[in-house]
Amino acid sequence: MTVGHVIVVAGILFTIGMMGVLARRNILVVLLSVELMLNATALAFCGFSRLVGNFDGQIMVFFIIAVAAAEVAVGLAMVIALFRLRLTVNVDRVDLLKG
Amino acid sequence: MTIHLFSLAILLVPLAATIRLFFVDPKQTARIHGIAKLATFIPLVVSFLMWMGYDTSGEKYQFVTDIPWVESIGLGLRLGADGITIAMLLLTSLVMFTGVYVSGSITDRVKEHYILLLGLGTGVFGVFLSLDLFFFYFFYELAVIPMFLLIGVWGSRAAQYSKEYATTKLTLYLTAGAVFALVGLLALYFQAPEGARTFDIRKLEAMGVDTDFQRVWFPVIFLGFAAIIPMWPLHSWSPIGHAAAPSAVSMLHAGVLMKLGAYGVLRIGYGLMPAGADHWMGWVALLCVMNILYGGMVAMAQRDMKFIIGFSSSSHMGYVLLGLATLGVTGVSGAVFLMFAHGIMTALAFGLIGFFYDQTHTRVLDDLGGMIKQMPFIGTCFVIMAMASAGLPGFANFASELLVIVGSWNAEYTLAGTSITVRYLPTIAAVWGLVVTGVYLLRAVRDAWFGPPNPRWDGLKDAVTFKQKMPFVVLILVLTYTGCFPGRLLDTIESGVRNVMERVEAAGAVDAAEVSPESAPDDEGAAK
Amino acid sequence: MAVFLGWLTLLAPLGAAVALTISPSLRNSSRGPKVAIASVLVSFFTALIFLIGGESIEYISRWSWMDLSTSDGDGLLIELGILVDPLSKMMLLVVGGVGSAIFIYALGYMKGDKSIGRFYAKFALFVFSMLGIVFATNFLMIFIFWELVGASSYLLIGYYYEKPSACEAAKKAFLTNRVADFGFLLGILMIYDLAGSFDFEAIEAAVVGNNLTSTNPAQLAFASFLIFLGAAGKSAQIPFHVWLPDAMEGPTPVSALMHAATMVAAGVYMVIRVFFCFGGVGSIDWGWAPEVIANTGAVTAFLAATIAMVQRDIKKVLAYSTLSQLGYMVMALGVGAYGVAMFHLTTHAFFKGLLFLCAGSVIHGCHHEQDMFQMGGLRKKMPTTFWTFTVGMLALTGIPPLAGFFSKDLVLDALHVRHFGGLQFVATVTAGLTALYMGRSWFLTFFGKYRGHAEVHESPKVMTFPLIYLAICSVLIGAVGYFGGFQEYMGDRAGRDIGVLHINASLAITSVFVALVGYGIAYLFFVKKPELADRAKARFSFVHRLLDNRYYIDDFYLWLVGSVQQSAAQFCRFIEERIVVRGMVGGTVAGTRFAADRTRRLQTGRVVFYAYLFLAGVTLAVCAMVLA
Repeated sequence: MTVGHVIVVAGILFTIGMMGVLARRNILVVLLSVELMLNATALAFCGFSRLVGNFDGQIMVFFIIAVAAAEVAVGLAMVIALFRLRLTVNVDRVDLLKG
Repeated sequence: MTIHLFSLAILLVPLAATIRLFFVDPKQTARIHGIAKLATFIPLVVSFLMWMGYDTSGEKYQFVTDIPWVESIGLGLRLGADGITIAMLLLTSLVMFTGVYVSGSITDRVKEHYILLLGLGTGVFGVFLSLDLFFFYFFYELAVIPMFLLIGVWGSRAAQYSKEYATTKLTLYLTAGAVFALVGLLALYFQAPEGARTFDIRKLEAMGVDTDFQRVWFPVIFLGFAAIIPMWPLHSWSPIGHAAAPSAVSMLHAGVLMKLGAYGVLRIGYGLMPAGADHWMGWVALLCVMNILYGGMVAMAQRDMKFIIGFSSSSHMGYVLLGLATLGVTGVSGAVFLMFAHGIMTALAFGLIGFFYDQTHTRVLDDLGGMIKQMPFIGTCFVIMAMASAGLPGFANFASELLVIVGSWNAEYTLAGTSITVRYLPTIAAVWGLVVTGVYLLRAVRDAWFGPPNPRWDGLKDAVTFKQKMPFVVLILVLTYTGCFPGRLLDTIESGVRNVMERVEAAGAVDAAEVSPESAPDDEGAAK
Repeated sequence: MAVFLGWLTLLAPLGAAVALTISPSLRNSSRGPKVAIASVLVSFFTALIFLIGGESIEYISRWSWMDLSTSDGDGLLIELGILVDPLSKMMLLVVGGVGSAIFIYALGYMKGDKSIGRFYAKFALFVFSMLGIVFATNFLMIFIFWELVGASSYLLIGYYYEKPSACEAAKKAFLTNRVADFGFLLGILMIYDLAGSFDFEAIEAAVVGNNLTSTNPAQLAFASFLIFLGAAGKSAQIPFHVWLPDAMEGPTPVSALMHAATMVAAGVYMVIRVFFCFGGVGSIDWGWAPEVIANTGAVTAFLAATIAMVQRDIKKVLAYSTLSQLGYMVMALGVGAYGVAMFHLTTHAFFKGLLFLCAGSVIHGCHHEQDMFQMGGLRKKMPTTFWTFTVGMLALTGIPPLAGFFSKDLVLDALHVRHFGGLQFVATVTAGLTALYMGRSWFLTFFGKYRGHAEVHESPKVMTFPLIYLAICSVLIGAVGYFGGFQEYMGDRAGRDIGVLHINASLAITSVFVALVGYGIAYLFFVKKPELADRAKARFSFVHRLLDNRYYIDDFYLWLVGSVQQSAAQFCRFIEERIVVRGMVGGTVAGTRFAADRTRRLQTGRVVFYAYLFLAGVTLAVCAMVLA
């Protein structure tokens, strides 16, 4: 298993996540897809860390996990608040910032 | 690090007063007035001392203060004065001082008014004193922003325009101009090789700037400053701004703020980009004819007194531009002298208009008339002002306009990009401008002050107390003194101008040497 | 000592004016006018001292006013100074001699006026400005005081500022002169270009020494023409004459000193001072400028005399008469007879000042009635005024041996010597017209029955004393000047002057005869058979209307100012408000608003749309990086 394999997997994961963010309308799925993208990045960091041979990349992974956890906490709270207000989790229905 | 008490004091005293005013009880108006008067009187004294202490044959920049700040990028508070600066400092401190005296009629939010007014003053002093591109720009913005609030809050309606319209327009124009200037200033900073970059004007002058760079960037900087001069066709903010502003602000605005532009052209444009100035100023000589004649013609068609003086300012600033465009010591000295004279004269005009407007609540000539009966002192001052503005000998305006005209008569204006050289025409237009000026000023005098007394104005109160009369008397005395004995002030200005113009003339000589081998074959071709 | 005296003479009236302006106590006290009178008497006595001193008191004193020159003499240097030579001495005598009398006279005339202090302040300011012209050493100095004279004239014509007509006349005078000064300043600048200096000495040296006449004849001729425009403005020559009759709105002493004796003569004086720019016909061919000058003078002299015949206002008659006499002086200038022009200027100052003061005395006596048809029979009631007026009138019409006879005949002689037959004819006819209109006003005012209503009284001594003094001068000054060598004293002006002229018997007899005919017609029309005047008026109603409307020149100017200039101003205002403000500024605003409205729609508020945009941006950036 070379770094190349890891990067390819990370790329595939990232693309799946991105397509999820772009294509799905359910806000929960969008959040899940974002998580997928974050994890793809984490995976890529690990792979590069191994290639370079130091632990910088793996330290970044910890940051990502921490950020992801925080994001989920805030994100879910906002989703619940949104659902209470609008009774929907469809992102297309929420366009209050329309110019 | 060098510190000169004078240059620092002139900047810090209004600033300190601004801060001090924050902590004064708004109800203690007498105290607020007192602080403002003191904070404008000290710079007046200091600038006078600087004038007296200025050595016309000494260093180029005197009274230098140099406090390094961010040394890695060559940034520091650098202040200093040459002859041009001294004239402008005298003008600013005089207008500030008298401006505070005529704002006695302001009763609404007195504290905030003075905080902004003194903040504005700090900015103006800062621009004139700065020897550092960054601080030049910083103070320039500092001078513009308080103006927005001063007109927006304490202003009055100007004909069909609301004060909010006027102040927004003014601020937009001036900030847009400032952005142009900022881009130019940054370009000036970055044109130097890495490591040698500095905001220090003196060092930049010593290093010199590439000629091609100057030719490309001079118009950008010039346009930035031209908006505040204001050069035609960028002038339309100015008459409305004048008309809407309260008297002290009109005085500062027309008297001083407009001179920032011309000063910027001289200090940055001519000082750092002499070859660019030499290349482009021919066009300015043509455009300023529009200022002089068109501004005068529009003034002729106005009925609101402040609009008349507003358009006349744009007309007079045309003479300043013409003087600058001559690229000769006589014309440029005349232009700087005229900046001084015009500043004092318009300050006087707006102070007087403000004085009667506070009581009449109208400035339209058709409503006024015969007021000299009720207001002999103010009326006499107004006639004197009109005479000075119309270029009557004995006042500084005449002396300076004469220099501009004589200087411009001998100048040749080469229009960059074409092979056309203009002579005489701008001067002829400028001399005709004197006739136009006479027409609208005398008409304003006749319609507002002379004629049968109007019973509607019987209740008007003339200026009687010393405090009321003092600002007008001071301004008139300065105008007549410098008009009759311009020697000392003119020597000071000349020494500053000569330093700047030496470099421009050198650039012009190089330019001529470059051009002549090319143009010689052309001439032969034309002959064939 | 003499240098000090020169500066003192110049500055004394200024000091009086300043003192009267800034000190209310002096202004309102009876000492105020006396201070002003004393300051003018200084110039009278200085003139006498200078004239007695002769050649030993001739000097130039200079003071550097604006100095932009470098140590090696490059650059501009503007000086003010005092130039004392025969010409300025003589002019000083005119200003001081006539001025002192009029200042004293004004004490009586202005008595009871609340703001007499203000009047004297302005009057003294005028004398200062006039002396500046007299003493000027260079073109810029003359221009400076030229403008100051214009301003003090503005202030004094508009002295009764509550009268709209006075304000209008003041403005008209100032602006007409401004238009003329437009030419004057350009002329000065052209001469500066040619000669490289403003100084009279240096220019004379350049013109004569560098022979500009042959190297740059066209420029020199045009420059001298432009300079003459300035002179034509102050001396009210056609087409700038319109302000002078209106200027009679000022108090009569002002009309006497400024608009008859001195200020209007400043143009003539200036041309004599800078004669070297003009040259003279006959010596070298100096181009067309002198001929234009001579013809302008002739046209002015004749037209003004014809208009004077139909005026009702006693001051207006004298004003047109002044125009006419200035025309004589300008004719003399045009043929290069500078000494003669100066001689006529001097005599005219005395007798025309006298006539104006008499008119003022009449007006004062009739309680500010100026219409001659409301007077009549004043000979008995105002004997001193009558006799002095008669002297002035005879002097003006050139009856020997009074002053006007000598000077006017020398002008005719100069025209004759230079072979200007046509101009000589016009001048002679004008002499007859002069007698006609002066006789008319003399008969209407002093003879027949009194037609007014107010009680008439002779003026007080303080007014009649100056009348008698000026009358004596008007009798003597011509003969004294002619036989006492006035022309020789003025010098021969480097050989360009016409030289010393003598009375030509045949010319003199002709002109006196023409004048007597004029008097005869006046007597016939206004005393013997008044109905003849009405019949002539009816018979030649077209001519009368033309004259009454001053050849419609004023109306033409009114149209020019009212319609053309004002339309141009309104047009500029239209451009300013509609095109610059509403078009350019409004256009920018509309453009910004339009762009904002379009870009606003990009802000859909939908997250997914933003995500797509983001993706597109990243893709573009990556592509750019790869390609680079």
